[in-house]
Amino acid sequence: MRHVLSETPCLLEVERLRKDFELRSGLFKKRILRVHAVDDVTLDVRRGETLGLAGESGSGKTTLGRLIMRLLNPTSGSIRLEGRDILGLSAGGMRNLRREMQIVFQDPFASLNPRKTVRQILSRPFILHGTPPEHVEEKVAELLETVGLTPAKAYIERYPHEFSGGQRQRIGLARAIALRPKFVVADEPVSSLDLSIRAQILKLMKQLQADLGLTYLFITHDLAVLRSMAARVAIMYLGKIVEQSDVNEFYSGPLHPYSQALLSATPLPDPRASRARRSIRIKGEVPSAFSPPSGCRFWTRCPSKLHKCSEVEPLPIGIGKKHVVACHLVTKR
Amino acid sequence: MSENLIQIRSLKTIFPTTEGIVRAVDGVNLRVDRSQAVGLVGESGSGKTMTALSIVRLVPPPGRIVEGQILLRDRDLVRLGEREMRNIRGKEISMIFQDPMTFLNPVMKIADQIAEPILIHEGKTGKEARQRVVELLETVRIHSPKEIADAYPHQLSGGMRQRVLMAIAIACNPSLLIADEPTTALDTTLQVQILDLLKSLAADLNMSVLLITHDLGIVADVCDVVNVMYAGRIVESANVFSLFDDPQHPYTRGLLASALSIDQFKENLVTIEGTVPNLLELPGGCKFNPRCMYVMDRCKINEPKSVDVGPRHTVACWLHGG
Repeated sequence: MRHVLSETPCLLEVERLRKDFELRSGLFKKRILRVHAVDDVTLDVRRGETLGLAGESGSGKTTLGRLIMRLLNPTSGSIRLEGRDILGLSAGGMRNLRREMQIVFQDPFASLNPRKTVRQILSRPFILHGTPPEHVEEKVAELLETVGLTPAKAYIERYPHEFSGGQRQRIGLARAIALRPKFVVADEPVSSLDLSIRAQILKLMKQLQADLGLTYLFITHDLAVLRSMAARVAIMYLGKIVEQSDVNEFYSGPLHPYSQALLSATPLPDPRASRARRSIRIKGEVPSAFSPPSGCRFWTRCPSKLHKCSEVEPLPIGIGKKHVVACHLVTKR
Repeated sequence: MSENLIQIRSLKTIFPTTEGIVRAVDGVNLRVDRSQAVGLVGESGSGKTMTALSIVRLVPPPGRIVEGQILLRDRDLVRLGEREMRNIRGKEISMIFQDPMTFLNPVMKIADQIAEPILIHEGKTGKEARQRVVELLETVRIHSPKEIADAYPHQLSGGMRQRVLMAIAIACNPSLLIADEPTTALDTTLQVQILDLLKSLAADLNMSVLLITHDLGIVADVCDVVNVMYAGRIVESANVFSLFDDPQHPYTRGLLASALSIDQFKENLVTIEGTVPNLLELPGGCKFNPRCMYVMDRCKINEPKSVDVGPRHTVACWLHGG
């Protein structure tokens, strides 16, 4: 299954991961509907890289991020960090794992406790993980300066509501990097931010990555952001990864019809290029995850579907060393 | 020469609050010609939505228009009474919003909601209106329009709801459609469908569009003319090609330089430093001066006026003589 060969060692390996959610409906809640939110997902994230995970709503990208963070328990499959299985960890093991893996959420307002000052929010990880109390203040100040909130003194006693969206996301990043994790999941970290602030946060993320050797799983619906942020991208549709590729190969030649449609639908901030481009349009909307299409999950919207697409599910195949795609149209040359 | 449809002059809309007066729209000049798609771009708090709500005179109280003119052909909307405005809304000017669910009545069938403006403005019978509703649903490319006409909003998907909202908006062939972030809540593949629809409706119905968005990609794709707003003011206005080829205001330049694209890898991300301004604590002089990399002494004292820097290209910046 592991098609993308690599020179850099893997930090995180996800194999055949699956998460089903159950919904009971009807009288007496007897009818059980099952959603395969994440369905047989295999991917690697290499040390020091950013893997971009993209897809539309309902694709399962956020669920996958949460499974990797162990905020949700998978139905089956395995997740390894530096070769260690992280699914069978004890409570103590989980606590240690939290030092190594952290998450940044989309809405920094919802993810910061409004009743706590920045000092309290950022002290917490240090206290929990045994930093001597006399050093905590110094650590928090250092952290604030690292994320560009300088001078730290001006910010440390303030509450989240006193900050702008961009500043709150800086605090979210500060909390994530407090314990020098190896791996950070960033779930739509700039989607709720204003245009002029987005680039600031993305630049800070790149800076932190370079300085601290971080590895990111960058979850977003915005392929334009990933072009400049990711080394590799994985595209999800209805719980499946349909394409995984090196970033240059992906943007110059996406192979899956869904990836092609997604790229073609991403607005170009250039009026000439935008009006000149050949557009691939797909019809309709993402089908309900409760009753996903048979065979390839994309066939109901695919502009170039074949007869077998509705019957046989395409398996991921490697095209070259840097590209994996699950589509019947793509065959090994 | 293109025909002028709406012309806004020195519009000021304010909101009195306990902490002071928020000048949400502060001296906006804006023009939309017949059959033209005009973009209004800005970040949160720049005043783009308040400009739009001022045009249809739906500024939520205690906000109010305190100055300026909004000329629709030869009538000044600022001076019209509520009864006269009701004849304008939905008939001459329609509006669609980001979140269709908020503007659709959850306990009213789709057909009745679309028929409402037709019955009010065109005095048609119920039967005629019903037929028009089905036509309109076809126009916004809804398959099986007859079934959808009898559905309720919650039975429709997000994309269908936005189409229904469009059907209501175009029901009386308005001359101007104001679209306030119409696709912001939608997925990428759906967004492009709605934008395609918007473009083709505008062309087919000979309708002008005022598109409010924060997305430069959408502006580049849809608009003929772009206005960039910052802190309640229009800082630059130009033809879409001139604006992207040759932006003049440092804020516009910063926005364009920091925009990311699927077409280009940017190793070093360009940023505009600082934060989006708080309208209660605006700086003196040019409102952008604390974030501007070309700031000069006079930028902090006097506010620059809009000057012409090319054919239909204006900019309010002291670098261009203000």
